Amino acid sequence: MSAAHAPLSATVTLLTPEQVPIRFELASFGTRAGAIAMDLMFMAAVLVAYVLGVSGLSDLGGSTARDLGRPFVLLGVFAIFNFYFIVGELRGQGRTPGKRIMGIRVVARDGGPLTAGLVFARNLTRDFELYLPLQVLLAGDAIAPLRSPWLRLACFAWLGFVCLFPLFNRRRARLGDLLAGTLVVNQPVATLLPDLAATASADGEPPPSAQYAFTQAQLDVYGIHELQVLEQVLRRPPEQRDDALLRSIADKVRKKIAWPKGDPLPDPEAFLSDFYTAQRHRLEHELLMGRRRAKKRE
Amino acid sequence: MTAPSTHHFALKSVAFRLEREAHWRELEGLVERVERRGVRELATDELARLPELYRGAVSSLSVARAISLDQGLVTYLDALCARAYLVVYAPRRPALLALGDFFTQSFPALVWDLRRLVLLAAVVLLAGVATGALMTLDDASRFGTFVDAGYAQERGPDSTHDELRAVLYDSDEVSALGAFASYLFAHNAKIGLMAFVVGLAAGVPALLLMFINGLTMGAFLAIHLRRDLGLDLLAWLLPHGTTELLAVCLCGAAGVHIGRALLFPGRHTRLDNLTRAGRDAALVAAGAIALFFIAALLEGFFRQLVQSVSVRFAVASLTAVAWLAYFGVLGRRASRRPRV
Repeated sequence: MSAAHAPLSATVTLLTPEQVPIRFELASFGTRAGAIAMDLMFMAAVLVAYVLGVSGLSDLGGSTARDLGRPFVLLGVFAIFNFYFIVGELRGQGRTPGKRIMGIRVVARDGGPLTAGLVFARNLTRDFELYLPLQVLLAGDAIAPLRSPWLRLACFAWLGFVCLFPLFNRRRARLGDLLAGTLVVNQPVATLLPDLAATASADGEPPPSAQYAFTQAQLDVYGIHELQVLEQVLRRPPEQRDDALLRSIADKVRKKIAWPKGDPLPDPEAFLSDFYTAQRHRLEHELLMGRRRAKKRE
Repeated sequence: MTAPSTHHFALKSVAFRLEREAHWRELEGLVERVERRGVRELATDELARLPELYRGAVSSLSVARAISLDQGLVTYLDALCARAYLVVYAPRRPALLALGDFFTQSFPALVWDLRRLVLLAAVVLLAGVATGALMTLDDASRFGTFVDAGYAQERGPDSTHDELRAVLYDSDEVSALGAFASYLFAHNAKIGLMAFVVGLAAGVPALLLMFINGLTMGAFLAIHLRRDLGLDLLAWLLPHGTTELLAVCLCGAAGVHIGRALLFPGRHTRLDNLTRAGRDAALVAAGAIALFFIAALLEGFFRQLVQSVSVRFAVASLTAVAWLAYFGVLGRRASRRPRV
């Protein structure tokens, strides 16, 4: 059970300046690739709009304007290629438009603010990590030294290494990230779920009365891990929580804690919910006493 | 059997949550607004409240981790604090002011700190020039080895005095120059960035790049020397060349800086050291791009407009003095101040 519920994504812990560790989920390679693909599309759109705009404007005004237009086009193209990501990350606090859509962002590995220096460092390497591989893929034949098959192979190997670099390290960092000391994490989403053990809910509904009472001995069987697995089950949306599952869990619990054998429970959900509340009560009490029971007693 | 355990009084973790939930919700609302529309969205009193609420939430998180077994709650607080932390510790300096700081303080200071490496890059570059020049003087056919045909633009060991002279004193109409200048800028800046990035391979390729650059220049110098145009070539090259070569050296130094961090990590781990060096090197490379831009402007507009050798030399020395003052005086002073 624990394997199925373990978080699928790798996490990283940053220490805030208050010395409180905060956990972030690292963005997956696929998400990042998606964000890059989107950013490249946006960039292409900006490029096309800019080039069309400038050449359109300069065509309106005679030959001098046309001559002036060309440097503007060249400079603009350079600026868009090299500064799109930098400006995007600086303005969006670590989120280019593509990253924003994919729900990821750049953070500093040391927990400090994401300063301009970091953004520059992680993006100046893109020329080499992103545009060069793209060029080789799209127009490898046009690059003269690549006509030799061996050089070509070496080049592909090197570029493959650079591109897939994030797959081979714990922090999923690309070279630019290593250089700048940054990480790409999932934008944290916070939803406050109702407390399952709250005796009175916030909107003033009557407290659910406990139908089942447990003895201390019964509550000393399970540990924190089992409590939290139970919490996950109880928090499932109703359509994923069929009666048969709850009943089988309830029966397992009953057997384990030596609950008096008898007829099938009329309401396994109520039983589990009461058990959860009582168990959490017990374990938190133990926790305050300095006894942390992580797992059940075998 | 003991008596049934009582849970008619509220759990501590439940009471804890009830007490603070309103503050968390308030913080969540503020953070969400900043995430959507930026920090200017908040009123003054809300802005003042943000760090207060953030600290509250962070302390709640610490407490919750210690006393609450409600995983939903801890996960929520974790995410809330993460979001609030990203908002609270986002750099606030407006882009233009930050840019000003960069060019008046951090960039010259970083270059001053790296002065030895810049010098090293310059020495390697000059060694390349000397090698290229001597070898081409020795055997003019080597010119083709050192210089790419496209770059040479029809010039070569067989060019006559007049042909070479024509290029040096050619006053094209201004129209094409702009395009030429921006092409040069993009081209050179790209090479500069390359020099910075290849520093990742222990810095050796960065120095190699310097040397090869030098070889090309040396070969050019040689074919002009053979036609008694050495001085004229320097006058043609140096007005923008001082800036451009300096920028090339800065990129080379940045690359070597990264390589050095990898080879000789000293007290820190390699990764930490790479990060430290990488940041500084990236800033130096970014500043060098600005230098390339200035060089391209000088090259595109100034060179073709001014034909006099003495004026060309005067401008060359002026730019050299300006850069020396910028990095030597401003940079040195800024390097002594604590960095922001």
